[in-house]
Amino acid sequence: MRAPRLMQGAKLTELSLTPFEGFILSRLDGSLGVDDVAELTGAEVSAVAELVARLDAAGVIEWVRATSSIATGRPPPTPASGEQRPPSDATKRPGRGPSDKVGRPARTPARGVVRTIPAPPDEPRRLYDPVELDEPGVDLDEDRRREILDAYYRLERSNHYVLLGVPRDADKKEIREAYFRLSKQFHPDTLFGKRLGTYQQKMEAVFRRLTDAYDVLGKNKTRRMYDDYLQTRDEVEAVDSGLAAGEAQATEVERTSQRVAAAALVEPTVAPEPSPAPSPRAPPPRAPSPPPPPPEPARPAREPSPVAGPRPALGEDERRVLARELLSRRLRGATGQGGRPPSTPRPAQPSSAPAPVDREALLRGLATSLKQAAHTTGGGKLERHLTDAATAEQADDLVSAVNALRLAAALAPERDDIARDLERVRHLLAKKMAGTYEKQAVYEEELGEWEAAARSWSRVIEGRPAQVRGYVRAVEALLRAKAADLKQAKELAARAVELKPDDAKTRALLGRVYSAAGMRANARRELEAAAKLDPEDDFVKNLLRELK
Amino acid sequence: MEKVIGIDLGTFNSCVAVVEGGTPVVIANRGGYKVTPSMVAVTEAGKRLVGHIAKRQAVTNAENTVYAAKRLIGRKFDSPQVKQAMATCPFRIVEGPHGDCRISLREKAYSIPEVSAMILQEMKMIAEDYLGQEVSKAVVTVPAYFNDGQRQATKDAGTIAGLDVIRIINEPTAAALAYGFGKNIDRTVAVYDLGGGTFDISILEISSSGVFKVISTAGDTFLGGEDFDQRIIDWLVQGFQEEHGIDLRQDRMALQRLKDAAEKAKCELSAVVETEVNLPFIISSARNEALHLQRVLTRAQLEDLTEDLVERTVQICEMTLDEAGLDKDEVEDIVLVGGMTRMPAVQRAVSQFFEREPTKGVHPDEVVALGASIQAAALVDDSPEMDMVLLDVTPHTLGIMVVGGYFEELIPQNTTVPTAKTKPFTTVRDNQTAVKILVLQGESRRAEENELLGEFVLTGLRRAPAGEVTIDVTFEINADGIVSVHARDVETGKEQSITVTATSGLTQDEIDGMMNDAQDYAVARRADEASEGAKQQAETLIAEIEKLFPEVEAVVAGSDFGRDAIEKARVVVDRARALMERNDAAALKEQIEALARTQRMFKGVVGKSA
Ligand SMILES: Nc1ncnc2c1ncn2[C@@H]1O[C@H](COP(=O)(O)OP(=O)(O)O)[C@@H](O)[C@H]1O
Ligand SMILES: [Mg+2]
Repeated sequence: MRAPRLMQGAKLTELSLTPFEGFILSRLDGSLGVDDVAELTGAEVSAVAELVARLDAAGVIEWVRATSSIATGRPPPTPASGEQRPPSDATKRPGRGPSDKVGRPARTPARGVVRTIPAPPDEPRRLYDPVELDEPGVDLDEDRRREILDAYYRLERSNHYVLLGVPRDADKKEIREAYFRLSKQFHPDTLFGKRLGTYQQKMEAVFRRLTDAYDVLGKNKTRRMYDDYLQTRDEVEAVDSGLAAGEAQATEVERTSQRVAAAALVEPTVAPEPSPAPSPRAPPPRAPSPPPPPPEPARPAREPSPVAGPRPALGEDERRVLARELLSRRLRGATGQGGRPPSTPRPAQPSSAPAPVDREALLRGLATSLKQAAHTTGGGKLERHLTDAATAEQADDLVSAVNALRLAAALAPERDDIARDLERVRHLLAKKMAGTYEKQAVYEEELGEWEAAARSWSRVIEGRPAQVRGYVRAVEALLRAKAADLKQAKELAARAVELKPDDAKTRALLGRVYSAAGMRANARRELEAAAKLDPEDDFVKNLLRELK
Repeated sequence: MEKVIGIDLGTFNSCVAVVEGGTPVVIANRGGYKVTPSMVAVTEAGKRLVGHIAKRQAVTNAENTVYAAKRLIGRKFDSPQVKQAMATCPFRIVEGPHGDCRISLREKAYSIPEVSAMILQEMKMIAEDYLGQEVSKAVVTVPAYFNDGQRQATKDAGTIAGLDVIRIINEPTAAALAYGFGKNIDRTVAVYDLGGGTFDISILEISSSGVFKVISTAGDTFLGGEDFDQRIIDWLVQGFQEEHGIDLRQDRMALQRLKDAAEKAKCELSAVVETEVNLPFIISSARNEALHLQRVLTRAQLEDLTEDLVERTVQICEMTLDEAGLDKDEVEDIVLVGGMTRMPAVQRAVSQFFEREPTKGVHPDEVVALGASIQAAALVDDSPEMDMVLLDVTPHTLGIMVVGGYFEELIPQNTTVPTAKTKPFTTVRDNQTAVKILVLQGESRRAEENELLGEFVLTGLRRAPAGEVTIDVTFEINADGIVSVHARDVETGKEQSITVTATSGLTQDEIDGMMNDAQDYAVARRADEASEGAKQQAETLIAEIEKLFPEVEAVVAGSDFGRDAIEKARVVVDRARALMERNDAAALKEQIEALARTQRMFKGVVGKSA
């Protein structure tokens, strides 16, 4: 897709533009298409197209290759996002799509819906420890040491295919050869008689994992099960990143309207420039994989390092600086251009911006016209999103349906019916995915990854809110997790009790959570209830005795 | 570089090999045999005999001749295996100081590792004679089914024999190594090992990159050639009973003869279809007349008598394949190991089951030792042709005892080592602040039926209701097969661990003492050999001199000088004879010089005159 961009040094003052048109012009940054701009500004596509045509004719814009489109909710499969993550580079920690960070948390959950447990944040990249690298009394040269350390520290994050360095469709022979080759590299016997220090254990750990991988992938049955699991994870990730992209886009729409409204009133509270929507095909890469490419080559980096995933909330000062900068640029009628740091002054355009004295008037006008536009033309946009949603739902593309409705909701936050519809489709999606989440949860339980399992169970609950099993398993997983979130556990256990108040098991579970949290009175209450329901339960009796 | 030898310490036969210039070779003993019977005897004069000589005198010195000691290694005195051996073995088994068993030979009690050490020492010496250098390191094989205690006992036997056992490997695995070595093949093979006392089956993957991975291994420690012999004995005894109404089993001497005859008949029937068992004067009748046992046994009869034994090995093969998750047709070759695989019925059963002819060109008696020597070289030799890795598996399940007396498995059998597994456990009582971890090995659901490897206590748990504390127990087996266990309170992070050192039932002091004895024996034996060599040399020289005397006398008798020389020669020979009598090796060596001079002089005299 090609996108219009303001040409450097264009004489804008020679054009006659309305303030709203000026605003739209300020959005033409070479990464947004006409549709996108319409989307962002709430203007009609035809109006934007007409303006762009006019500007084009006047020779003040140029067309460049856009890198992503948010209007469709699905980015063009650029090579960058396609290759950034080899198909097998999924990690052991499943479902770490960004959706939950930018997703629902801001909303209060609807009644009866328990918030899903958010994914852990991305980790920074890691450095060698000289204590290891320079360990004395080890008969290994530095290359060999690094080879072992690299393999060792990659273990946690590699799936079986990555570990063996074979593609997912590798045949038995390839897998076998890879395993045997790597075994020879990492089996401690290859260095028999040498002093290995802590490297011995590390080699053993690597070898163990290689063997696990081979034991699983080497047999048809276990490999099928594992592939199934990976596919489950891929599915979850695809849904997660699809939703994340939609959410980012909707948030941007919401922010834009807030910003515009705010900018119209007081300068310093102008909201920051929206961050690029993460491309759904390329979820944030995890720490040890190749360095993440800059999200959008056409956009200048505005932060010291490329941010993987959604942008964190800005501090007040930062927000102010950005707002001021944004405003001044807007007043100049230009946007930051490819690779140029935004703070660089632009001496070549002394006259490109309207006179500062007109600023107040400009902003006021802008706000008014935007409101008008929203009222008069926003309806059409809305219509389109709603149609898209209906079509997508019909095609069982529930992710797209959710995204379209979410955009509609962003455009018309006052429409309760849309909000309700969005919840309905979200629930449909959750229901559809529940089986997949459950599969994942069970696998994670098997691996002893309790945090992840708890998270997956919490997502199963979303789809099957009336099934007690999900709550119970989520709580049990949480209780086993190293850093258990007891508040979350309590919430889930309480829901389970709500669903089955006469079940000794759910009561005991809640009691256990209270007990683990040190809330003895509450724990006793629940356990007594449980004991009444099932006087034979030794576990409950023991727990109660201890609490008295 | 020091050579590391490979030893197949078999129940019935042992074999030693070494890799030379990239080629593994079996080393023949002094008698020229490549296998040495795993037999030890002590003569009336207190002399130790090992191997063929021990076997030769076994019938006449049965009480002081030990065979199949391997069956007793690492076993408790009150175990059923020992009880059974006591009922059938002609040598005396007594209880040792640690509940272990010992063998009493000429009033001295020997531990089983000590007896095994005698065989290992013999194998070591065979290798040293061949290599012309001292040997101090070895890889020794054991049946795949040996548990930790038995492996440790075998290692201790090595130590006593003056051998550092750098690795214990499984017999079938060793066989596969020898089979695949230098072949550059990618293949899945089955090793079928039917020896004298045990049956082992292993499935391995061999890769051209030099990796040998055991997929699965199983076996039966009480199924071997002896069971076949027993069937023949039963058949003979029953026939004799029917004919004469006498139970031969009541007579020890008769039984011993029956055993030898049965084995002999069994081996013969591998080559011919009919053989005669002939034992004259086997016993006396009630009326004191001598009775003879004479019967013809055909191959068909033997196969009939032992059909179920062969069938049992096939069943184990099937189970093992199942364990490995393999179909029969995925096994690309079969390696036959052990003397019993010479029996045609065994070969037939194996081919029928796998639907494939077993591989030829592998010597069933030597292949295990060859494999051991290959593993030895692979470990210590950095040269590219020895660049191989053996990925072996745990033969037994490892776990801990849990409440109820149950055995909770952590590392299942057939897990590739090195390996590690963690499982969470919890407390049984309220406010329980310590847990006892009993480390066990075995396949029984009941803890007490498994082998106890070690135990420890994790203390300082946080006070909590029963079932509230999570204790992670981790088992780890490193590449050397050493098991370590640690327990950790998840909440408090408190940890406790042990390295499981299996015991052979011997204390370090005992081992040291036995090692010294063995060393003394080695020194004495070497000295013996040296004096034996000197004696032979002296005898040869004396014989030559004696032969020349008449001629020399004839030539020089005329001169005083001649008579004097003859006189002196007489003295030299007599002295040498006296020294030989006295067994004075050092003086004899010097005297040999004098003998040699005399011999040269005599030859010169005779040569000139001719
Ligand atoms: N030609 C043969 N036919 C049948 N059995 C034989 C033959 N040769 C040896 N055996 C049997 O093989 C057994 C010994 O096998 P071997 O592999 O040496 O035992 P181990 O490895 O247990 O020491 C004995 O039972 C012996 O009778
Ligand atoms: Mg053998």
